[in-house]
Amino acid sequence: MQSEKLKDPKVRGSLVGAAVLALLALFVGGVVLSTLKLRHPTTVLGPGFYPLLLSVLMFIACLYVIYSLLFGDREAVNMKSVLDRAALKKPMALFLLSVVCVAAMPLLGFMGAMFVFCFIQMTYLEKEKQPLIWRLVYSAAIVGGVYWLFRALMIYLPAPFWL
Amino acid sequence: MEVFTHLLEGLQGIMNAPSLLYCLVGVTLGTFIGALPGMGSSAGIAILLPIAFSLDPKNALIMFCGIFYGTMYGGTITSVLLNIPGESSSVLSAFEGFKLAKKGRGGVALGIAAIGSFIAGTLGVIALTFFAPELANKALLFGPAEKFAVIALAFAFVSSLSSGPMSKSFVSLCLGLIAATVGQDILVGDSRLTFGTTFLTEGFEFAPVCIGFFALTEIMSSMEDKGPIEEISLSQLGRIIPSAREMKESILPMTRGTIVGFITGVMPGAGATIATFLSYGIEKKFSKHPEEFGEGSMDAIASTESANNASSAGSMVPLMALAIPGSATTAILLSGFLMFGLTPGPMLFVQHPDIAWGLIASMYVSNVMLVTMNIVGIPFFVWAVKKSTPFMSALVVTITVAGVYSINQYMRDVWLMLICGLVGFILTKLGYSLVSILLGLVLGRLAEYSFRSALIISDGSFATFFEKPICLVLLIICGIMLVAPPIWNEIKKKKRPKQPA
Repeated sequence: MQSEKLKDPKVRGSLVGAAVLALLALFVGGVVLSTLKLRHPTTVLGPGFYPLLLSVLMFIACLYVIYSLLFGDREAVNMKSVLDRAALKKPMALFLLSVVCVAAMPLLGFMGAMFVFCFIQMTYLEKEKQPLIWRLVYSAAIVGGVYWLFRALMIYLPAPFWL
Repeated sequence: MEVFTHLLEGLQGIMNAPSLLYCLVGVTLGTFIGALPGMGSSAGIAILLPIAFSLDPKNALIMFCGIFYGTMYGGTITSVLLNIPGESSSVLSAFEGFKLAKKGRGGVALGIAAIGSFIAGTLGVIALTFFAPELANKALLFGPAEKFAVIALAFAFVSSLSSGPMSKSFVSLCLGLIAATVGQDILVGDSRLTFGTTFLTEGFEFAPVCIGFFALTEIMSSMEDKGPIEEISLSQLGRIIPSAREMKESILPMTRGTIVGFITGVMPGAGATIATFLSYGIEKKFSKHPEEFGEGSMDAIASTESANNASSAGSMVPLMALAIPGSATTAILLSGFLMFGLTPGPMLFVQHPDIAWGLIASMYVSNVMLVTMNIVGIPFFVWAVKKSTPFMSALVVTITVAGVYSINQYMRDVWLMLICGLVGFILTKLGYSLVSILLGLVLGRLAEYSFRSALIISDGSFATFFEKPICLVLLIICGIMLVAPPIWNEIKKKKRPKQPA
């Protein structure tokens, strides 16, 4: 019965998620125990008591999630498409594009990096691709508009390091 | 009588050009954000949080409340015309409204929804006007033990009422509470879970986490391919103003929706989605035309849209009276209050009555603006949503990057937002509740402070939580909230006939 359940990619994905969170709880508990005091002379409870209590509760809850996934109801899975790679392609591409553009900000400045972001996002990640001229106009208008808005609020967005 | 005097003073305080303008900007933005598929009030307010930092606190909060209300109205537009719920609370409006639109009654459905939202929103704010200050007065008498019990009750509500299994919601809550402990200890000052970095000494900056979780996660989710969209053109809308007979038939569903919505909204964690589903179920039992449910029912639209709006007024009660947010949007609103150095709750009505009452008064004004805008401006919002769709994701990401950077002028905040966006996306996919994480993060420090302060006062005796009657009652309810759902599920499972293998 359990092996049948484990064949379901959603159950497997959910199990991995719960196991990672359980390990995180153990890690937090370990760090708290090794670095913080549980009791304190003036405040009764030390700074470590509360985070330790929370990590123990989280660990138990994660174990319960794993138990429910293996022996309980199908409802415990409660997930739709975690392993649907085709559906995940665009969100992950958007995230990676954001990371690359933020990393390039010292070199290109806010305006340069976000212009590149907007143009690539509209070219490759939007469902309905606009003509080239409109993508360029939209990208320039978005970046220019946001830059102007923040400038008006006396906030200076990052400039390239060479300027 | 005192309430009316305060309310009039609040109204007087916002009857000036800047306040009314921010109210108008808020409701317009809110309607637009609500109409955008995949965007909700939480994302809308989160994105604007850094920008609003440079505004006058009262006007900024009025704008945020306008956005909150506006999204409730706006969500109906795309639900009825495009069959895409702008928010999860509009799912049933899409289910019933789109079918009505196909029958050529989409305009009336939008009109009924707008009027129902107005009636429910206004009645909800009237109830808020009387409940919130009264509750706040009672809360002034609360000590640390009672405060901890109230927060624990909010956590129990959030864990047991949020969508998905309770165990996952509880894990999310613990994650948020652990994240809130990062930084300096509130009583002793020791560094906790900072791993020797100065970046984490002050704890997690709230805005980047919040924007990452709600704005970026929503944009990433909206990128997923959801297949072709079937839509109704504006020419198929028909008339928007309902006839006298249609209005008469909708009054009772609106009233029932308002009552259910407000009560559900007051409960932390229940929120607008549960309110709409509850009111839908109740309406189906009371309606004169239950056979129309699922085929395009005007009663369902009137009831669910009223419940939706009344719940937003209800959710402001625990926020304004006890500083306890019950939903993602009110949690972000709480952070907006804190950003301006204001603490909602009992002291807000005492120390900043102009802001507390101004905010309540602005909700009446918002509702008037919204009903006018949503009856007259539906074609405009549909046009604006269609025109902006090709560049909306790019615009939102650009604003969030600029907004998060602007808070402290540090790129590390932008990185934190990106990481939270990815983590939020993965956790959502795995069925964990971001609302629970956010509530844990927002209320974690207050919960710990109240818990430890109560123990200092009682000299380390845990009995202090069970000696005070209010505390005891709240903790018993808390226990029931946590234990009852699993037991109920077990009973249901046993009653279910076993299927042959």
